[in-house]
Amino acid sequence: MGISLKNVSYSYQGKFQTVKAVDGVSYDFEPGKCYAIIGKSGSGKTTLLSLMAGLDLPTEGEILVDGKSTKDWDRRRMRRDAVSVIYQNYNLFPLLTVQENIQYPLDLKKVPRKESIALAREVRQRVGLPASYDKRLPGQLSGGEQQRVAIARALAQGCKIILADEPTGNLDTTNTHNIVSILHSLAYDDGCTVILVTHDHGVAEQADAVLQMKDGAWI
Amino acid sequence: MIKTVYRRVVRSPVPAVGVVLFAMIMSVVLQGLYNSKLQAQEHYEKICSEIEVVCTVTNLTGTSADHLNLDSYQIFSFTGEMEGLETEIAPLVTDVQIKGEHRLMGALSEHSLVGITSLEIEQALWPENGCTIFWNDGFDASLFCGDQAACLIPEALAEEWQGDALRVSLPLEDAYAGLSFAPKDYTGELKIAGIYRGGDEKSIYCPWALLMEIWGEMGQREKASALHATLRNNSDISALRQAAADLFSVPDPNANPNDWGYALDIDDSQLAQADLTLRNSLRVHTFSVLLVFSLSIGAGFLIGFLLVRSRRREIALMRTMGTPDQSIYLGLVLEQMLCVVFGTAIGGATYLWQPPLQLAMFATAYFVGLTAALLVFLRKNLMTTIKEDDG
Repeated sequence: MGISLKNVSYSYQGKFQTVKAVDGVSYDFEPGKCYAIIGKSGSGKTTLLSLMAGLDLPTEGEILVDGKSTKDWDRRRMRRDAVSVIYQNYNLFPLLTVQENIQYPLDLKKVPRKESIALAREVRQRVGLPASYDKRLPGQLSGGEQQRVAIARALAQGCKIILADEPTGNLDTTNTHNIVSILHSLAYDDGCTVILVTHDHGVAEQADAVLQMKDGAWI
Repeated sequence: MIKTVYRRVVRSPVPAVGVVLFAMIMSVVLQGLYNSKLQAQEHYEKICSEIEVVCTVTNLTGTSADHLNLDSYQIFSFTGEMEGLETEIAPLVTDVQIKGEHRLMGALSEHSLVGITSLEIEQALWPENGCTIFWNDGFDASLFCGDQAACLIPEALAEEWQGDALRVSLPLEDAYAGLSFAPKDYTGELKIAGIYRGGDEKSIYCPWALLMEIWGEMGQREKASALHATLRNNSDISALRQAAADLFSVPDPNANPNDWGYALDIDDSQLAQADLTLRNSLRVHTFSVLLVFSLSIGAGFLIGFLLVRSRRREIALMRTMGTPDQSIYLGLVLEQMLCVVFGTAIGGATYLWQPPLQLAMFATAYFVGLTAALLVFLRKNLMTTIKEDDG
């Protein structure tokens, strides 16, 4: 499942003027590959990622997810079934345990209880977290561990497009390495389309393609 | 969903406990207000039952309630004692007090025989007006309630008169027409029940019923110089005004005193004062309840607003993962309403659930405020929410 940008622009009303955050961007992201988008703060990376995640529609152009425009998708369903997002600040549910966090997307899809528990355990193992973490709350985990749980949740969601917004931004070198490895395995082993937004050139260099943004457009 | 709500409440109990306490306080306040309303009503009913609304027949200007010349029809409209007379006033009043008089002739020609239903109707006999009564053995003020041929005489007359009975003669003044017998003067003996010192020394007092009997024997038309009664049920005050309108006018200081007719003075000033007090109390109560409901809506909105504000990242995450807005809304509302219902139940139990309707209205008001806050948040564009959050 790939994702294509066709002359995508996005403007929004700022406090004093209309801001054009993304300006005529086009690109085809292919399945089984890992992409890195780099650029300075305010260059439009996160906005572009959010558009690809279906949080809003482009004001011009279109985004094709699995060959279908985001305008034609039921975007809530698209976010549930087609695109997973991993955030810099992990965005775990603070009052749910590790296992409950991982199970959340499965509950949304109404996967039977036993099946969802088994799947949650499987993906938790895959990101390298022991069973003893199942009952812990996110506040009891380190940053690296929380990001692994976030990745496990994205894995459990079963989407073929993984969007990661600064996934290693808050992590040390070792954890960064681990997280990048997991993301690469998602692309190369599971055939997912992995798109990273990052400031870290080290992380970006490990991607199959690096796209640089400035003022909402590719350089 | 209930399980998720349960987890939230158990793992982060402080906000839930806050809402429970708030609901408890509000329900106690509401019930306190309700109780104060009940008490005000009870107080009012008690006052109303204790207040005597006295209706007094007066002259047209309302300046005199004595020395009137009320005819039979006017008298019996209060007592209801005349056969064939349909009166709407009599059923509405009780404790009818009447005074009637008839001049005497012969040795007592300077005196009048005054029939009264009780001492209450004759102010001249009141101790506060300087009158003292000395009853003979076997007599007291209850004399005037019956029809015993006995009388109360002035002290001066008692000094002249020897013996324990008084012979009185009443001249016929105004006979009924068409009687089966010839109207005539009356002469008879009245036992002396006691003497009075002070007061009107020209009156010989006997029971009103006795005077009526004497008039009956004579064929003389009844007449009363004073009459007052008490309203039987204070809620019938309007009915009494309506019933009396045919026979009596309303006292008017500007009326011509020479015109024929009488007025009925209904003294409801105390009742009106009590009514005003109750109305003010109920107005305060209504205002307080409205204030509490407004506060409930405001609190619901504020708590809902703070709730979504504190959980906006969590809610935004749910939305980005494809959770339907309805599920998010229902989850949050269910969580809040469980707390509100629980708090209201505890608060309500303290008063044994006296006003469940008001508690339900409070919960509804809270729900309205909460829903408003949630809808404001959930209707926001997700991208805007996230940008605000990042900002």
